[in-house]
Amino acid sequence: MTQLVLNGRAVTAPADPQLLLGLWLRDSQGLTGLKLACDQGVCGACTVLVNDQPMGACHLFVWQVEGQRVETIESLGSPTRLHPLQQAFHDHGALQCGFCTPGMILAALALLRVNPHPTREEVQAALSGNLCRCTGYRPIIDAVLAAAEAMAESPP
Amino acid sequence: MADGLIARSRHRIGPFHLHRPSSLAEALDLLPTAAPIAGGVEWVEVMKRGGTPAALQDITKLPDLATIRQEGEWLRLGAAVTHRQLLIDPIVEGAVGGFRHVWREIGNPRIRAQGTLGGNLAASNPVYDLLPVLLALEAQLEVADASGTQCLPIQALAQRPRHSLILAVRVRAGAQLVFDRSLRPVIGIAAVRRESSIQAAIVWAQAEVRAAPLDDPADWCDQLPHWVDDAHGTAIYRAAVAPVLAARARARLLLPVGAA
Repeated sequence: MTQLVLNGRAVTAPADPQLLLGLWLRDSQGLTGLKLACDQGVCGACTVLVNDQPMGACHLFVWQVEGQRVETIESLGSPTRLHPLQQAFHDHGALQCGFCTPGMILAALALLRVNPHPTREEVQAALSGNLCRCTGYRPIIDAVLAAAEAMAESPP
Repeated sequence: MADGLIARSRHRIGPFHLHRPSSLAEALDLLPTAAPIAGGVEWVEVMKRGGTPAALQDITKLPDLATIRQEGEWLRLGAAVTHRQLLIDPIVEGAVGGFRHVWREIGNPRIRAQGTLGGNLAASNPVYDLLPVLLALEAQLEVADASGTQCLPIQALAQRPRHSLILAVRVRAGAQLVFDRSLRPVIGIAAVRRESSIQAAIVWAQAEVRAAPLDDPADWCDQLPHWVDDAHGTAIYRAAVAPVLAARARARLLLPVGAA
């Protein structure tokens, strides 16, 4: 069995070497926020945080995250109390279909944890591996910069 | 997914056996039947297309494989070092000026956090960016097999002994790197200056990735025999832009330090 910490909770996953993290999270843990879209590490819709680092759950085996902290979008906020990043995406029209949004928000969260006051260029670089087909990116970057300010004023 | 439909994602991978060696001797014993896996970026792609091997071995726990070390004037980069480690470790940029500027645009943040040096080289993918950089750096390859450990010039990557394990890449400090990827995937030039000499490698434009001294851009191009002619660009186009890019790379490397 593989032990890991999933959204703050110690959990056990099957030890099958071929089990991919993205399939296990969606099918066995019911965490369907992450999407398996391109399924080849390009689009970023399957982004999760592994020890605070954005990783692609579609191309990572469960045994590779043994003993590590895995966070999915479900660990952030709630419908009545949004995380500042979720609130900023809402306020700035940073999503339309929403398919890329969980990955975008987690990639942005990873940046803000190590760099609470990023420049526009640093946000662009951090989100460069997450593709959006609707918004054209500018509202997304605006939202991350606004969330950075909000989080500096009152940490979540 | 119903039979007959082609799923574009949610690829499943067939079962395989995973070994987890903790010593080099154990890993080398396993090598004939269990290929190495580190980040897994390459293997996952292969296996999603049905190419699952019977067994693999996770080599990330082997001693000295995931570390970056300075050894005199050489930098030893372990085969399981990730692209992200290369980017954030200041001794890499200290040894190869300009490296960080180039490498922060390779792949994407997730791939850089997972993909390793050894995996990139073992994949032998001619469109990857690492080999041209290492050729221009005149790097060495540290490999081990049952008969022992040896250092080979990086050009010998494809000729490394059968059933050998890539342990590390060695790079001599004191280099300045530029990599013009602006015409990717038609042609790219990685060039390295050491004191007054420049070594430049070409990628995506020749039958193989190769490096040669870059004194005069026209002479440098004359040493390149087989221009690729494909859907990305014609051989005539590649032959015409190669000396232009080579001259630009040379000019950037010859600027005073800090101005590039």
